[in-house]
Amino acid sequence: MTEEQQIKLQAFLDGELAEREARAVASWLAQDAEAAALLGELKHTRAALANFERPIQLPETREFYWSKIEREIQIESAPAPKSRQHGMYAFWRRAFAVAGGFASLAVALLIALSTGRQPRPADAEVALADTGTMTFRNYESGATLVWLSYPAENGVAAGQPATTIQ
Amino acid sequence: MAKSPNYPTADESTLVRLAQQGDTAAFEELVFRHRDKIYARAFTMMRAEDAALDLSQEAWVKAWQRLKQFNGESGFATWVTRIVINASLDQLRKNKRQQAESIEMLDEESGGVERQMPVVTTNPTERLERRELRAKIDRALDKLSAEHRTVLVLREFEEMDYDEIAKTTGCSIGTVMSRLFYARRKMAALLADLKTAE
Amino acid sequence: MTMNFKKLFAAILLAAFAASAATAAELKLEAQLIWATGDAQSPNPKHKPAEADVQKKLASLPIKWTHFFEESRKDFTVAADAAHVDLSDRCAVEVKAAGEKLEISLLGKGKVIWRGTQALPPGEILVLGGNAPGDSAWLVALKRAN
Repeated sequence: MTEEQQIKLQAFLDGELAEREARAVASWLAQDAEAAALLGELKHTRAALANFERPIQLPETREFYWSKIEREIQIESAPAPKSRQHGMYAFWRRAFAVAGGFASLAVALLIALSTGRQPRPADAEVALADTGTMTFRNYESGATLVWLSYPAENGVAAGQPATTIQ
Repeated sequence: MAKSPNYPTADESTLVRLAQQGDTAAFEELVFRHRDKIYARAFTMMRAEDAALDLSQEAWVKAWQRLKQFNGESGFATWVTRIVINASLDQLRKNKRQQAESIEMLDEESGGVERQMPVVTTNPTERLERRELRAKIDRALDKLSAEHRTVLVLREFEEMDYDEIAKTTGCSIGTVMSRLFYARRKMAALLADLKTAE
Repeated sequence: MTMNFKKLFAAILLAAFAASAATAAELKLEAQLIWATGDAQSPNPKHKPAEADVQKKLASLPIKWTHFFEESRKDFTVAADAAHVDLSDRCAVEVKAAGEKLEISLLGKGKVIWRGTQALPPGEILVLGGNAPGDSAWLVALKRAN
């Protein structure tokens, strides 16, 4: 059997041959035991796979799986954070971002003073390209928090002012 | 104020219509209903849980973005399945090694290996229980190359015709046919526990 | 006596040199991806509660969440080149030495979403965070490895 004949057998099995060609193959099969055996093998394999579809279950909970999709949908819908914006709105937005950075440092200073510790020079140099970033440092515990506006929601602790310290 | 629809009991066309209007809760319900099927398709193609999770989520995000293009010609799950298949194929192309091709691929091009495989004349799966058969097929799928597995999945599980498979994979119909033939012959040999060239 | 003192001094100098050489050569760090929530339990069975000292430091920050679950943790070394650490399929950090400080980049889906330069002395922690759906938050915690 040539390779072309073998492939034709497969096409016959899959119903991909034109009617005339299919009749010719059927006639050939009736006379060629080797071809008939090969067709039998292809049929068995196809039948085995037809029953196969193993019930594969998603290995994550509904909520967790959806939360990642939802986040991507929100990101895709939000404007690109680094795209240059023009006009007065962009100017004031950048101005407030810079003011926000200084305000967070001032808060850290106030906290340090209120706890009676000497403030150390700011260690964190914040990248302000991502507007809405806010930095907070607890000198006592040695923890620094950088809060990002990515995804779109902003704020360190929703409903709780940044100056509230435990 | 309009009453929120009862998403769990809403029919699919209603959910799709609401989602097309921007209702993410309706879309979430659609995701919930079809998440296993979409993940399973990605897993069958990628054979890796992490990749399948990533691709299935990517497919859902793309489905959200293209929702307005869905016109109901096929079922919604079928439409999303096509998206995850294309995403999987894109990933497989990226993963494709540039180094020396596997023996499988070389033999396929020269038309050698499948000719050397003896024809399996008895049904190798006849006495196997369903669960055992599924496990055996699963292991056999692992042994196919990504190209061979893809055409087999598209033909046997997605019931695409040769023309559709060719368009989806970007191959000629001739390549689809020879890859499918090789994949089926190799599956038969694996299911019959015959030694094959690895 | 003088000889012993000289030997001791030399030993101290050698140790200091070795220590600084080790510090300059490589720095061992640990990165953790943490999910913050108000719920006592995580719906993700792969999550485990964050370790106690990390929880304590997170509790010292002005964030409202009270429960922290570790999603992944990676130990890595920062040497001459930047170290790239994948914490999840979408989140990674890159860290490289910048004098006595570290230049840290946070990547989301392969894109840099934040970059900053920070000192990270032993015992301290840097936390990068943002809101996540379902009134929760994701946190990336960086600290020196033990």
